Amino acid sequence: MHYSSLLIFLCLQLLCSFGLKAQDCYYHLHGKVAESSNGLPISYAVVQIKELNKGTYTDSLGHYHIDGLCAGTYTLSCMRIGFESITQTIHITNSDVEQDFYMTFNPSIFRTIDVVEVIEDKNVFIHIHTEFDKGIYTRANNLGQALSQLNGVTTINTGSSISKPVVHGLHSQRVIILNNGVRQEGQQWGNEHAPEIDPYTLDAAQVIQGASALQYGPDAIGGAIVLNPKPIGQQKGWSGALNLHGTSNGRQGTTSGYVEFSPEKINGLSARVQGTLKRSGNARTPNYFLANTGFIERNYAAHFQYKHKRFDTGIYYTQFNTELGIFSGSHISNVTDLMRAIESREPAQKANFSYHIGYPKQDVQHELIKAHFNLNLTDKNKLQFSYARQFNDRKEFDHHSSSHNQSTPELQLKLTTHTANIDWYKKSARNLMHRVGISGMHQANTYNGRYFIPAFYQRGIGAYWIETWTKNQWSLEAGLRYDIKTMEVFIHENKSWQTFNHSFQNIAAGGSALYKPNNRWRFALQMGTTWRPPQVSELYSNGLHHGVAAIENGNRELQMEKSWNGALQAIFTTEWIEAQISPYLQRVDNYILLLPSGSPTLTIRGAFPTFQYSQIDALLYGSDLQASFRLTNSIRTTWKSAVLRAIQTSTKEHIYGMPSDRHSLRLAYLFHDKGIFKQPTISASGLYVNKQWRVQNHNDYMPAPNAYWLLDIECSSVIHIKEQVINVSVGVYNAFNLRYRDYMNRFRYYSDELGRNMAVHIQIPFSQSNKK
Amino acid sequence: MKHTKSIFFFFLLFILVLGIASCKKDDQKPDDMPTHPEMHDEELITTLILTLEDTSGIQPSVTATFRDVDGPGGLAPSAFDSIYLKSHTTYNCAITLLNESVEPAENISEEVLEEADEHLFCFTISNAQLQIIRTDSDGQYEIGLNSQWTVGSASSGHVLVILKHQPDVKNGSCEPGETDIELLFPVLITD
Repeated sequence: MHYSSLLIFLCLQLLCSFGLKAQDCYYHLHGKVAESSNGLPISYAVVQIKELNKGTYTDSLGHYHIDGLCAGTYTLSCMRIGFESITQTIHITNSDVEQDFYMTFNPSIFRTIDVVEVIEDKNVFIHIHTEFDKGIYTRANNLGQALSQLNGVTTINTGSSISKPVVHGLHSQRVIILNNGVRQEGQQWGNEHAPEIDPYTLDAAQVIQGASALQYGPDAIGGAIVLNPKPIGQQKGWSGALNLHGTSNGRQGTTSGYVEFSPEKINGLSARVQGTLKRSGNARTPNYFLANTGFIERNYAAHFQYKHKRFDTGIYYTQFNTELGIFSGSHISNVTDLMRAIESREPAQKANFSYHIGYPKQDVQHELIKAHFNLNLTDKNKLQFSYARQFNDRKEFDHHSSSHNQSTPELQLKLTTHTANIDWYKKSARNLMHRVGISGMHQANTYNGRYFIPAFYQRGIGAYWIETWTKNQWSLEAGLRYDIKTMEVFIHENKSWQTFNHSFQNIAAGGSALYKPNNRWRFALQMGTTWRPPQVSELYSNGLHHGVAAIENGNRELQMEKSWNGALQAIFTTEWIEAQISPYLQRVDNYILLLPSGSPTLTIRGAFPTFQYSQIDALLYGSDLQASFRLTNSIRTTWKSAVLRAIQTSTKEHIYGMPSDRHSLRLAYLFHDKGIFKQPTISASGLYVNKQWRVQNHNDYMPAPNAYWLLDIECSSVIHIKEQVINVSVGVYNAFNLRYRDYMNRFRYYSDELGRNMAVHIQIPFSQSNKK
Repeated sequence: MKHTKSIFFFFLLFILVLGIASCKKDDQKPDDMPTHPEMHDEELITTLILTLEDTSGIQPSVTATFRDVDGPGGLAPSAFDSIYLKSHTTYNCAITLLNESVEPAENISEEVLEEADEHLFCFTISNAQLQIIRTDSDGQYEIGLNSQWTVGSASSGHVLVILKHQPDVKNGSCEPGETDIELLFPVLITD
């Protein structure tokens, strides 16, 4: 840990030495983009300064801001699909400039800009996309919760502080998470192992399916979640932001900030340091505190980049550290205790508020270092090299009695992963884009303490080839990928170490088509086949799973999982409505899951139900629906629904552990600017989560929890104090303090979900240009 | 390119710092794991032995054992005896707990005795003509490592032996705490 503080110190020192060279480039350009016919704001219009090759998007209210401009004359262009582009010359002499654009709607325009759009957005089938705005930080406590803002993405939770994203019912090994282009490699097999990523480092998230996802691996059966860090080097000089966040439930406090520097005199050089500190105490349900649910998180990131016309290179480093308490009431030793916990409706162990983290607990460190070198052979021909090393150190501590040595974890897993990629992009004259690449991976896992998964080496090599063709209303994409994965597993059996080898290889393929007949409609179709080798945990895990009172046994005979999937997406957009429907269908052969294995296992703590990893043929289908209406200029409403069915094809039984249907409605009112308050907004969201009726009750100790609905209220505004902008948002979640349990929370047996929570989020961006 | 030097310096320092921050962390390789996996699961109890001695010294002493050396899961328990008792006899029962997954075996009953104020044995009898009372104490409440078994007429049934771990919540009853042991022994009483 102290190395990281040293790192931040050194970087700050370094940045200070550069800071002295600041120049007079602090002018601010801003304005509004609106429709010429009715004055309605246009969001996602691109405003670009041609000379500087610098640009930005307008926000939902049509506003844009560009900072850090030097005095001079610039050519400004404003573009949006379906509108005529505008070019305007502006002069910046000695003050900030305001420039509004009024765009004229022209349906025939979309064709010319379409090409630009596809190039920018090289993935044809983006299922869903979200920006990590201040609202997400107000609502979400961790990455999983932030991602669940995406329609079709839910979370699987362990208590209140551990969340993992679930995409269309699939999670863990079936979802690839890419953090800054690097595949996240933690102990992802465990439901109680959340992705070790600080959402404050991120700018946007996308869920990618179809051919483009092949670039990231063959095993994105649920999809690839692509997380993009905040782009670096957007403005010269100093800049940064400070985020402050507090909640009433858990009395959580978060401070997160970053400082970035791009020296005036050296074009293309930029560096950033980022840090997040988070602390939370015991969370509270409507009726009682949850004992030992506090956590501490300390995250650091550093980013260095040098961009030249012909190449760019950079290093990205992040460290994620968390120490989190596991709700004491969930530590049960046998089935009798579990049944008692279920019957008692309230945890036997009473608690008050405390920040103290006792036992059981998890202590996890995740470190990522990535270096990349991109060679721009020509403007349309790029070669990219990247290497990343990840180190994941997970310590799990059981419930201790006082006399035992508390510093030694009962289970410690260390996972080191090296990945290397070479990718080549080329846009050819015939509307084609080629993407070819190879990737290699080497992974080593060791354990100390209790056996749950063995020590192993895992190696993989893969190559992909994706072609994208774009012309007029059409975009077509096809991709192919071949991978070889090997495992070398070390098991202590019959008093000696035995080595087991596994090798898997297969082809993954996919194709997508995008058709935009006019500027109102957009249709996308995606079909593909992917595969996933069984994980070491599924092959070799063995033992008692605390918390669920079950013995889980691996199965060394497991075969690879194969998926055949298809999805359709239809989007309809007018000035007043934006509606999207995305049905999907996926067949997974040899779907790996835990099934009861007949006779219970006798132990000193009584008999435990026993599960074994088995394979079935599964069919998953469903649809996501989303519609936004602009009822008036100041009232917006958004409706979202996600529906999923998952069945075992041979028996027609429903598959265990799938999210139930959910629907939400959000109503937002936008006020007029008032004094220092700009864009004040108030919104109310209702979320209805149905009971998971589609379960096999004999597989569970407790029937699925009842349906529930929650009301959240949020207010936000941008406050302008002189040149300083401050984003403030306040939210009340579970406003009625309703008592409920969620089927996707593994602690549903033991406790209710959280009660009312009030959160405040303040974001203070700063840059050299607005401090005169 | 006059800034090449500073870029280079910047870059070098960055790499250096990161190098320091990240080195020496993956020195353990899967293929040189320790020759015997370390087990420090202190809570592991593999063996419970009931030793019953006739208070009048007439009947032979009785032992009944539960043994599952590799802990929950894995191999099935190697011993799970029935308790054979003589009718109309009073026995003194002592419970021995062992962790036999380590060598030498650890005596867990000594640890239980050290933490007597956190532990309680509970006995539930079904059908058998048998009465059990705990005969030891932590100073305030009973423990149950020692007990007296008063056997009635010939019959058969079960005795459920439970060890509760009750840190800070021990109140003499079996309700609070976590279950460390829960074993259902068959009991056979003959004349």
